[in-house]
Amino acid sequence: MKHQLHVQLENSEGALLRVLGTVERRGFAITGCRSNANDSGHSDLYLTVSGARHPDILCRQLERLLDVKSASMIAAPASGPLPA
Amino acid sequence: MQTQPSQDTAGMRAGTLQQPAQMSGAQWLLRALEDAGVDTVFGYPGGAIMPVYDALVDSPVRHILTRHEQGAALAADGYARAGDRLGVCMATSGPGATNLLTGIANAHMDSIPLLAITGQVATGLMGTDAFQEVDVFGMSMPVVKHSWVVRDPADVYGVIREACRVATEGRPGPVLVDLPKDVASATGTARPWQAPQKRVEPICSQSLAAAHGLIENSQKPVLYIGGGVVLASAEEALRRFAAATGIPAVATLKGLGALDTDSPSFLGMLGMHGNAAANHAVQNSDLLIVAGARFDDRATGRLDGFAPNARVIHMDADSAEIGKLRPADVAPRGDLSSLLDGLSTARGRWHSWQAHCAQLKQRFKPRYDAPGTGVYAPALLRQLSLKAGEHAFVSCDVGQHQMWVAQHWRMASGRNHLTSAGLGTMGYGLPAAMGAWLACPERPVVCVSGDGSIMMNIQELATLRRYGIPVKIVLLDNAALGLVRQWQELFHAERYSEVDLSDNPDFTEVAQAFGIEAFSVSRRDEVDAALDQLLTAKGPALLHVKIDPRANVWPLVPPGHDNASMLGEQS
Repeated sequence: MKHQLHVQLENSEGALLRVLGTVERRGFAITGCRSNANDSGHSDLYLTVSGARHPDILCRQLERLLDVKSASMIAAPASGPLPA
Repeated sequence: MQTQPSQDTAGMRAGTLQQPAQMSGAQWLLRALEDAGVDTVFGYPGGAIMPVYDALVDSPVRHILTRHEQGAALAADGYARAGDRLGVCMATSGPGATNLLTGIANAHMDSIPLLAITGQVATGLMGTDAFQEVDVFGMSMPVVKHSWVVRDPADVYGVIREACRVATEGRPGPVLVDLPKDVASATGTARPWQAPQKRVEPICSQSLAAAHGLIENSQKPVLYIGGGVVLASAEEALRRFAAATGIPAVATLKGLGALDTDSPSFLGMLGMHGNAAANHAVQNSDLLIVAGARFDDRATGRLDGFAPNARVIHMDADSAEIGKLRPADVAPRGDLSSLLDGLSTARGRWHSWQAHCAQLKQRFKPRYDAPGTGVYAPALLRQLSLKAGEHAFVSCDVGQHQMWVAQHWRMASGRNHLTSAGLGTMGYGLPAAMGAWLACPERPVVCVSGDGSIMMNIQELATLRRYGIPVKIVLLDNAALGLVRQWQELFHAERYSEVDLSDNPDFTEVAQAFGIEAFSVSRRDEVDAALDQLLTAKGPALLHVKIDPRANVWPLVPPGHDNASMLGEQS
């Protein structure tokens, strides 16, 4: 089952790797990924993931990471790319 | 979320740095450790971390030289568990760093506060496949709570202070700081560091009331104790709850001792090698009151058959554990001691259930009257635990002996039991025992090992000797990898594959070569005197015990089965 996630994270060394690694280790495949860095030292990461486990648990596992400010499921766009 | 002023955590001093001097990155590292309350580190020197070892000569921080980096990491783990404080280990880049990884993973799986410091090649060489370069920052990512590469000597102090804070606060865990050699050598003025405000989660009165109601309306409640109780220093509150309610209790491997294992309401460990009374009670319960446990597969057996009729109250410091494997009906958040105290006023009509559990406990209580004249390991361990006393630490390796300790050792406190529960690291026992004694040198430390496990870190006998660490080792020798052999016997049609260790060295001679007093027994009638000799030895000592190679650990829940499907002599 596919899910869309929005992850806000700090632009610190290894932050993106930590998030992507956590998603995969927790049993989800990443099928789409887009990251937008902003001027405040943070990034908005939009992920499309697929997996049989509950994405709410994944969001809490991501929020344990020190670099992550928030992680949440967002409504899946009907079609087209992830939010820019 | 409320906040409160930062307070000392595991001996750490909060506040800003009052030291404007120019110092090297290595000196800042040691100053930061000192200011964080760290007085002991375990490690092994090498090329990239030489600036730190140079600065160590002038530092009050005590360094314990192990004989392998894995020994350093596992000793720091034992130090942390026994002393309820941060454990610190360090090693050089490349193989030094990779040798730490098993110890870091061990701390990760058991939520132990550990700081690993690794030397790294100079920043200009990073990414060039330089001599002894390995990306330990990347390699360790799955098994750390957080990690840093320090690229400026001015950041070393703050990163180390922050690393100490992160490792110990909230759900504890390991952290790693990778320090390139040029950063350790260069001088700078440290940037100020201020401990952030500590977050205190308020108790949700609504969920607490809901949990209270579930308990009062239950007919067959069971208190399910995990290692989180020990980590949260909630043992006293747990004991108040258990005493006030009288609810039958079981524990995971890491939760053993949080409630004294001799308590009347304690039924034993649950799970694969759990006590049959504990497993039957859990399987028949209608409410699990879960404190600091995470429904590990070794505890639950087949998950969809675990406590099938039970509702669940799940209390854990880590919200990501709630609902991960078993949905919770209520999950009160907040300080575990406060939650348990809040629930301890619950009362119910549990008399017949309590009586039933007491009967189960009586029916399945361990027996120590095995036939024959050979040494019966469970009886030896029970006897040793009583002789060693309730203040003794027991450190285990991994295998049959570890399960026998869990089943038969009397544990008066959760911190007395050092065991590699999550990762199952053979070779854990000896270094962890060293760390425990260095944390609490006034208390006896016993290491129970097997002939497979002891060989994984046997080089640490040299560390025992070097520092005069009086760990008492009991080596249960069945000339095999006993637990693997048991599984091959039961589940692989006795097709024994690479489990025979009958060509083991003479362990007493090995120990004596390290300068450790050692002796051997093989008959039951020798055990009592041998245990006395072991415990009264002045320094480190090893008792080698020949046991029956055919001995198995019972009961056993076969893999893929639920906990009602126990095999064994008394299940």
